[in-house]
Amino acid sequence: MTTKRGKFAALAVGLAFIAASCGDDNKSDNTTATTSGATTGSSTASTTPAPSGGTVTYAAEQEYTAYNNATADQVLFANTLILNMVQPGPFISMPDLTFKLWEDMMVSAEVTSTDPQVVEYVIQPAAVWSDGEPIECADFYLAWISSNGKLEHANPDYTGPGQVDADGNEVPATLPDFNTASNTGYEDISSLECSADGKTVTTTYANKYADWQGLFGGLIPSHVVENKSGVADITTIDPAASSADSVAAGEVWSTGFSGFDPEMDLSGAWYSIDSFTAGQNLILKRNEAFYGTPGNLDEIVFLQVPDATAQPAALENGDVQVISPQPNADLVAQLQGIAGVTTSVEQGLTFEHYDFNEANPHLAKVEVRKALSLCINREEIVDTLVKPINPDATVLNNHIYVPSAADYKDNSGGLTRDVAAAKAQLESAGYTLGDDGIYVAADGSRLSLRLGRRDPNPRRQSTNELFIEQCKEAGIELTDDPAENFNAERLPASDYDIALFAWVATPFLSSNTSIYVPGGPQNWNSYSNPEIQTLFDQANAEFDAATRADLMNQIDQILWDDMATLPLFQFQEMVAYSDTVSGVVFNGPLGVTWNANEWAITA
Amino acid sequence: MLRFILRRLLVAIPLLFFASVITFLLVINIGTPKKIEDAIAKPGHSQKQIDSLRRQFGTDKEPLDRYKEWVSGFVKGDWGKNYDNKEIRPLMWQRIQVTLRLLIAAQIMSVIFGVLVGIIGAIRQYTAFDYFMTFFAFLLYSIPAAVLAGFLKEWGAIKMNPWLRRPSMSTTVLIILALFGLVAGYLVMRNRYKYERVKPPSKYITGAAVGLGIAVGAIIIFKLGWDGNIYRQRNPKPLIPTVGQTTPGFDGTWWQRVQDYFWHMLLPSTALIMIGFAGYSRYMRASMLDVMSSDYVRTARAKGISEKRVVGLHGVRNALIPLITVVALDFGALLSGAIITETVFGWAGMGRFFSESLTQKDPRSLLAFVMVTALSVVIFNLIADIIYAQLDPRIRID
Repeated sequence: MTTKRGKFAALAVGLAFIAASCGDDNKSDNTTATTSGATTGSSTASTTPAPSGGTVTYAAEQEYTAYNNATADQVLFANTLILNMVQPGPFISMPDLTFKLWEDMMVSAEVTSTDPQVVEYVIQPAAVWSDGEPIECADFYLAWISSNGKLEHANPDYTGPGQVDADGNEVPATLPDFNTASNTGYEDISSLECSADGKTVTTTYANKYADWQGLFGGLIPSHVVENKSGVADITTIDPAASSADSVAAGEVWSTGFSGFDPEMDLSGAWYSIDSFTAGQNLILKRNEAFYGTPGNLDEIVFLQVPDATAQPAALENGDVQVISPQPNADLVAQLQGIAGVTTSVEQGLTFEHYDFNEANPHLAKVEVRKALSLCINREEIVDTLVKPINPDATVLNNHIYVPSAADYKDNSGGLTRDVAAAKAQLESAGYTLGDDGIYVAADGSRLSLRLGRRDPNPRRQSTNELFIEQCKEAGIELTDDPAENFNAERLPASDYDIALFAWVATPFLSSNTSIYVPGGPQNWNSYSNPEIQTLFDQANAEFDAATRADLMNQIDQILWDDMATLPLFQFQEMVAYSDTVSGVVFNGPLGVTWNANEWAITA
Repeated sequence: MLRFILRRLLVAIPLLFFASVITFLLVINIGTPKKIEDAIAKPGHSQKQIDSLRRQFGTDKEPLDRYKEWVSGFVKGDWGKNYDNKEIRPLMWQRIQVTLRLLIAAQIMSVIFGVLVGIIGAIRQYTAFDYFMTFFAFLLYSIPAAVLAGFLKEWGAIKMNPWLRRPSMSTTVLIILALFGLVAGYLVMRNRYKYERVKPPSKYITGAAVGLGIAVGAIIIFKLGWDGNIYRQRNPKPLIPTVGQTTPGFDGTWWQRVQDYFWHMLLPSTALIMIGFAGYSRYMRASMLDVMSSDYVRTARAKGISEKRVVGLHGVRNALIPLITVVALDFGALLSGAIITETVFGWAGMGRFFSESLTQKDPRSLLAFVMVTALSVVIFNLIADIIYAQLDPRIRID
């Protein structure tokens, strides 16, 4: 008898629970609407198209680390996502990888002379930092000297030439005053002059730099650096030689901005950082001193949700309204199953590709490289590995541009799999089919190549497996060559036959130079075509966007003709947001928060 | 006693030293820090940036120099900076507080539940309750934490919150709840008089009435309390969140903040309790069964001591001794955090500190983590031994 009663009691508890959690679902909807209405001021919603106010919470995977996101130890995307709304800069990087002048802050920014290149920036007279100090030329000056690469002091650890560190790298004799991540562009500027009112900036370039629009983004308030370092006037620092002032300012610039300090992390744009709770959240509040069109929302919260798999539940539960995790097939399916959530999967900027190391005697022959490009079935690789995440995913057919870029062109000449053509290429290079079904070169060496990749990486492993299978039919023997240190050590040392890794397509087209020109620092393939150098020199000094795009596509055409490297597909990115929020748009370079000032609450 | 403690603490010094050496050898060999790898993978990267990162991580120095540098800093309290260039020591202190806030309550609750269920399971061996709890314990024990968390989020938050916004119940539900109270009250009384020869019906009626009263009272208090809940009026967010430790920017009175903490802790704590309690209940049950079948319990019963005293004094107290060791060791391991629970519920505690440091392949953070957790284990081991000696007079420490 005890047993039966026990069962009944357990059943009763269970029933009560289920009934309690399922009961009266329909009533709850009304309440939800009222609750959110009270906080968003929906009473005005009927009269204005985009209602103002309210809070939107974004699920941030990584946390904020520093206000100065240009130092060598930072450059974090997590910071970019927040600083998009905080730091001023003359241009906004658009989703189609072009630049748009930010008219709230800038009157104009133009190339006034092409030889030498002179760029003149005129800042809005009303533009101020959140403490009331004007946004001015000195802020541009600080950005320039911090990254022009000329200010260096002696390295105390340096003992003499030939001194190497534990990794076998040469110890530098000098260290930079400003520990910057990149000198690109800034190092080409020979002078920066300020007008008397501080609102006009004139930069003159020693070497032409066509990507000038990408410079001076994310400005740091120079007066804060002046106050902290005791340097009276940043603009008096000699840009070409290190001095006590430049070392002092560099120290503040390099280390002073890590973490959150409301005195230092000023806003020059729509929102200010109101609070930062390490490990939990960061809150942006509307910048009261903002001089342009104010943002719609009162508050944007960056709630830390480090685990991508926890984000859909948080979105469904209403803990967050916008998420942008790395997509995988399960995550996408899960999100698409949630009512009231819009999910969009986009082809990102990072793309996977095979690099052919021409130091290898087989790969030195263009016919072999062509044969590889003909025996691989890139469509099958995309179908197997990428389409489950994004049914619209495509094969990438350009080395410089991605399809979302305005200037993307398919320069592959309709490259698809053709085993017979691959064999013909090999035979034209003097290869003969061996007894084991693998081609042999004229010198007797078998056409056997290693496919280097980083380990562990299941996607790359599958990519290699498909490639191996596909090219076996064409008489090419490929073997998987995984290594944990592949990207960090073997790649830069050119220790591979064929490498599978990813590059990032950026709006800064000149950054591709180092990958493809003969002897370029990231040209690990020993690929050398002087024509590429000529075209890059031309393109990097070309200020007309259309002409430049044309030159870039010519470069891409040569890369296809030489089959130097073979692009495969782009990594997918995604954004999912609750239907209570409007205005969310994906942006590759800046991340989803790039237009958070235009987000609004609709419910 | 003092000598014992001192001796144990002195032994800890070489122990920690060897632990640090082994950890150091392991962590410097797990690969290039992720930041450096990422920097290399960027088109147009600057060698200066990579050099600067290598100086930051210390990978430009010989292993022996790196170790010396780390040890001399560590003992002086300078634990270095992590991959984000943050000071490790304050960061770790912050993470320890978070972990303890989440884990201590959960740990205590799971011990209490585990002990209670274990005792009842042992004295009511092979009853429906025992079978059910055994099944339940093994079920919970074998569910991966992430899966359990997923269930809790789905049923404890996503499905629960819309209802909690206006917790109304249909008449059927109210009747079921009232009936449940009625039946439960009756059953309790039946059990109370199970071994009595006279079974007074009035007691059963009283029990059933009290049960009904409690159920109805709970419903009324619940309904009344809800409408006046200031916390909910000030906070338009879902009541039970699936991620995070507090409501961002929430600023209320002390009591409101406590409630905010409570609702945020609810799901992760429940997950931890469900997993933790299962183990303890099995442990306690086995230990209790062992004790209850021992000679001295039989002697106690033969002397005519009441069953209550036999179970409480001779049974439970002795059965707790081995459990104390387990619990103390588990408390020592608390500082290493709950990696999966912290991650899926978005808590930045020690577990996540460890997993982040490992992903970033950051030697200094990993070393600091191992040192702190190792020290904590050493100390709690010591405490376990002392408690053990206090509980069991047969054991002397000297």
